Amino acid sequence: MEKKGKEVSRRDFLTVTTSAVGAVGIGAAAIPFIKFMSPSKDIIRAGVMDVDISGLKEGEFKIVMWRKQPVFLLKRDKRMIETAARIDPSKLKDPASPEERVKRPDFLVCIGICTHLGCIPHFQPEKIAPGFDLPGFYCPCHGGKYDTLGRRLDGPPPENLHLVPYEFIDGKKLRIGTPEFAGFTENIRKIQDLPKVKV
Amino acid sequence: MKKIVAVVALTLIPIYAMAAERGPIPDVKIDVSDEAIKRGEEVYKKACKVCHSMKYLGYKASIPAEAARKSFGKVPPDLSLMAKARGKDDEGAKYIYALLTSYVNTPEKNTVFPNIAMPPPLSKADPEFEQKARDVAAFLLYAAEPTAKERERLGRYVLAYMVVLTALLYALNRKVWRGVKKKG
Amino acid sequence: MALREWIDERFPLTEFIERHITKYPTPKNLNYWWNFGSLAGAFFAVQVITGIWLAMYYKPSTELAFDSVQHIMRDVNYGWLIRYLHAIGPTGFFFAVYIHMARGIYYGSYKSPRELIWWIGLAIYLALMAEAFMGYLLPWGQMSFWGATVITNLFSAIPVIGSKFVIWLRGDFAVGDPTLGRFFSFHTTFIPLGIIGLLLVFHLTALHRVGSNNPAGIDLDKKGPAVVPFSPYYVTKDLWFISLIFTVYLYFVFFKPDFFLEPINNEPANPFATPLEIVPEWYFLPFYAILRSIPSKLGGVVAMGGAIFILAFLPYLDRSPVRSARYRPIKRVLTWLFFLNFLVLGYVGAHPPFGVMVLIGRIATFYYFLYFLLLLIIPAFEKTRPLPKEVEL
Ligand code: HEM
Ligand code: FES
Repeated sequence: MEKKGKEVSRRDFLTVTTSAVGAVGIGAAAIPFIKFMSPSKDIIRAGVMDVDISGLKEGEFKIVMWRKQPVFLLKRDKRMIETAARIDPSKLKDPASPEERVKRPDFLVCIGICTHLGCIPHFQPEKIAPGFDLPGFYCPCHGGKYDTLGRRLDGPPPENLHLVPYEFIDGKKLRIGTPEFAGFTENIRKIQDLPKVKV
Repeated sequence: MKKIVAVVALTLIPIYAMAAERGPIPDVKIDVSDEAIKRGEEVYKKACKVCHSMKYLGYKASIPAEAARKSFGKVPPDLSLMAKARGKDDEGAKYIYALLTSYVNTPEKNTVFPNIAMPPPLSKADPEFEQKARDVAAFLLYAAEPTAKERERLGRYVLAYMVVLTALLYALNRKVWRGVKKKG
Repeated sequence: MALREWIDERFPLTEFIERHITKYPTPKNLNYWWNFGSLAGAFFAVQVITGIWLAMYYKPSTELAFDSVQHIMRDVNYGWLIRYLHAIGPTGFFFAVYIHMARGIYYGSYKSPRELIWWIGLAIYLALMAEAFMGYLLPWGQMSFWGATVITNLFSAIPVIGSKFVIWLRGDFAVGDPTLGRFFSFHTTFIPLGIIGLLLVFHLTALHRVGSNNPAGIDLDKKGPAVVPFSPYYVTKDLWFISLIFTVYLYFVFFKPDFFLEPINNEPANPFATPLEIVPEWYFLPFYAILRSIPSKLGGVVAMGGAIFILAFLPYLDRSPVRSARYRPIKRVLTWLFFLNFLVLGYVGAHPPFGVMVLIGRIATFYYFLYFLLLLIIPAFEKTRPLPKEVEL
């Protein structure tokens, strides 16, 4: 009787071990199939993009496509810098000082996707909208308003326009993105906290 | 167990029969270290890129295809996959080495590939001639399958796992069948 | 358990599982040659899963196909793995299917009451050949293109309508974009799921109606001591054997992927230059040898087709009441010779048709067909050995 009991537990032990090892294998085998479906290496590599900014004049605005997402480039003039500087950051829904939004006061780089529901806001060089007597961005979809630092001033958007890693290369070129940085979904609030761009 | 060995042996024999069939391949060792590949890439850029593109690595030929056709009668082929198109495993790389080192100088003629339209890309006068031929062959082998090293690295774990799993399943099967009566 | 009951009242789930898997009565004397059916099923599963994944990035157009396969190999995460699994899998699949079929021939599994199982199996084999052939065009390499050109041209041997039929098959006047598109469509949906998958279900349903044959070839009492329930006995036996063969399969996938692949297929299809040597995949070689052994276009095609279709007549050609060749001394020798002869045909198919190869090919082709004639004749004088009363392990 005792011998038989041992036999049974031995088979159970073997069954359990084998099943466990088999299950681990099936789990591991699923990994390549899952990773197969995430962005391929060429798409990852395309996360670093160089833009020529030497032709951009004072006050000029440009949209470039990076990772299939619009990126705003704005060469800020004196009026833009001054009007934005007058805003008290602590009064904002998503508080941020100018230093936390841009690397160089005369240049804004951010993702041009409205943080409400994803439209692309329009650049307004004179005034954002009636009652907002400063330049900035106006979102036509539900009336979101942002200043020239991409900070949310009014309307339904919950956050400032999202930032993207970038670096200036000898003043003529701008390098946007890193291989790892996904873009809009990341939402890092301060420019200082963004991953470093290799130059 | 004897039966299993017989089953496996009988079924594997045709596979080995196939393996025995390989053409003559020059007996040269291709060093596929990262340094050799790097050196080989430089050789490619200096000696081959003039005419041959490597599109999956982003290299374009320096002269236009039409100009090459005019001088050689053919458009020089893309080299991205050449090492894999000319043989299995590293045979293609050995083939490339043989091709590059089989030119006799005057008149320019290739002893192994007499009809080749390509003039000798490497000079025999170069003291590093042989080394360069080997390095560029290694680079082309790498370029044909850049994931090969990752494949072999992962393969070791997978095979080790499979051996353990097979042994466990075999033991389990033995256990399961132990009590079954011989006759019935 | 309550959920199980809830379902069972509405759908015969437990009944189905017990009847077809856990309690299915299986002869306990099956040897390892009975392992190759489940092995083939495992390879089928691998092909379907990896195929669905490949189709996510593969692009069926002559402009993009080759590049898209390189994209899978170089840039897609683990793309090389999924592709090699899928490209080398057919080797394992055919390996299993051929041995599975040879088992059927040796042990007389095609005989009554298993004729229908045998025919469905042959249909699966035919569909599998079509599936592998069409898949081979997809990477759009040199061998893809010329293989498809040669094989589609076989149909031009059909009298009267032949050449029109080939044009219809290709959708163009040579193998081209329309051909690639239809091959992709058939390869990824209709053949694997609509034909092979469905036939597999029929194959097993028919098997479970009459029960498995066994090495003794005698009828067994399904409730007697000669059978054991499928689970756990054959679950563990099938699993461990699949694991063994998959170890070999994965060895080739990870360490020798070039072994079964044709180097020249790494060159994009070039309709202006035929490669020096056109060799089909190894699993087509024996039939390719038969094709080349007959010095007439129509004759060769008929012989090749006939070599496969003649298998369907086995239940009627072989009239001996004894199933297993174990107890049939003459059939046993002839059958081993037949298998050896099949390998010889494969060897001949792999070599250019010159000199002695032609002669060997013709003799082997002759014996291939002679075997079936002999099967028809030998029961008249063959002294079969006495059949056992009960089975032994
Ligand atoms: C019975 C099952 C199958 C067999 C025997 C089979 C066989 C093959 C073969 C021999 C190739 C060429 C391999 C190469 O050299 O690259 C291939 C390619 C391909 N197959 Fe299948 N296949 C099967 C099922 C499937 C299924 C179910 C799908 C998709 C739903 C699929 C999708 C593909 C694709 C997209 C390719 C081209 C990519 C490549 O060449 O690697 N296959 N198949
Ligand atoms: S999407 Fe911009 S305000 Fe709604």
